[in-house]
Amino acid sequence: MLKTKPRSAKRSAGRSSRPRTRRTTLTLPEDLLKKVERLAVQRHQTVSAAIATLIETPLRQLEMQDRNGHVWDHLQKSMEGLTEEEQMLIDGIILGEPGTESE
Amino acid sequence: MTDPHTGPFVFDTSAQTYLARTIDAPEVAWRDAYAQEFPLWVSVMTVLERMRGHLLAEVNAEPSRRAIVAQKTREYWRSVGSAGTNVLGFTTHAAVVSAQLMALLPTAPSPPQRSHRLAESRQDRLSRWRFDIMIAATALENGLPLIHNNPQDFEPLRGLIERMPERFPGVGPLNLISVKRLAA
Repeated sequence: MLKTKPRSAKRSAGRSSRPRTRRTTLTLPEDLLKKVERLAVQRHQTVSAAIATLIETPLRQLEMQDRNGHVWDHLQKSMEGLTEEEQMLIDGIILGEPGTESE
Repeated sequence: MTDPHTGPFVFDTSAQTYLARTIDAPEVAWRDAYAQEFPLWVSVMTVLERMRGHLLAEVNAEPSRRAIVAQKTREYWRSVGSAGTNVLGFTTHAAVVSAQLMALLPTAPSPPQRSHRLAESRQDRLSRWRFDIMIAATALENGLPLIHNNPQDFEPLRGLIERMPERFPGVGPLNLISVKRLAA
């Protein structure tokens, strides 16, 4: 369940380097929330800041994997079904009939 | 085992093939972990080598296969154009480093390749060796480790730079990692 309310325009005027924030309501499992609250106390952070810190890296990794993983998929597809000689060609190896090269 | 989070790395042409095709579970896990943090870094020379190969394959294909082979070319081009690929250009400095390497190691350390009925000519072997040198020079110039799949060719380059650092001011050492040892 997510309820959101944009932050007032006054705070997004660009004076601060802090990222723009938005108010929302999260419904989290109680034990998880307790752990986050304990962590926030240990780190002298607000619960919001603690959650933001915790999810930032995994979210970035997911975005990166989504973006970068497609490259490997395209590469795989670009090689599927090629003959051995065609595969060698795309690896930079050009093969010809032996003994036909000129000196 | 090479920690994938210590990248980015430059991938040599055949190392890229090896990692794209692997079905070995630890290698696939390594590739996925790497993709969580880094795009695929390649030299523009790898793009040249691969595109030339794809286009030659199209030209040489039987008419009945030509459309399929052309589809493979488009698929490769999609991978190059995607945000997940970072193509490193070839600069004047890389050209000077390559020239030194080509002058000191003018011939390829390993013999020409062959399949059951065809063989690589000496000219094409030399051309491939020079591509390898330019890829190594690109990794050197950017101070990035080079992931490779042919130690017979890259180790002599590393050894030469180590023995004659005065010939390669401002670059080196050449840090090589075998693609087969990434997840081992």
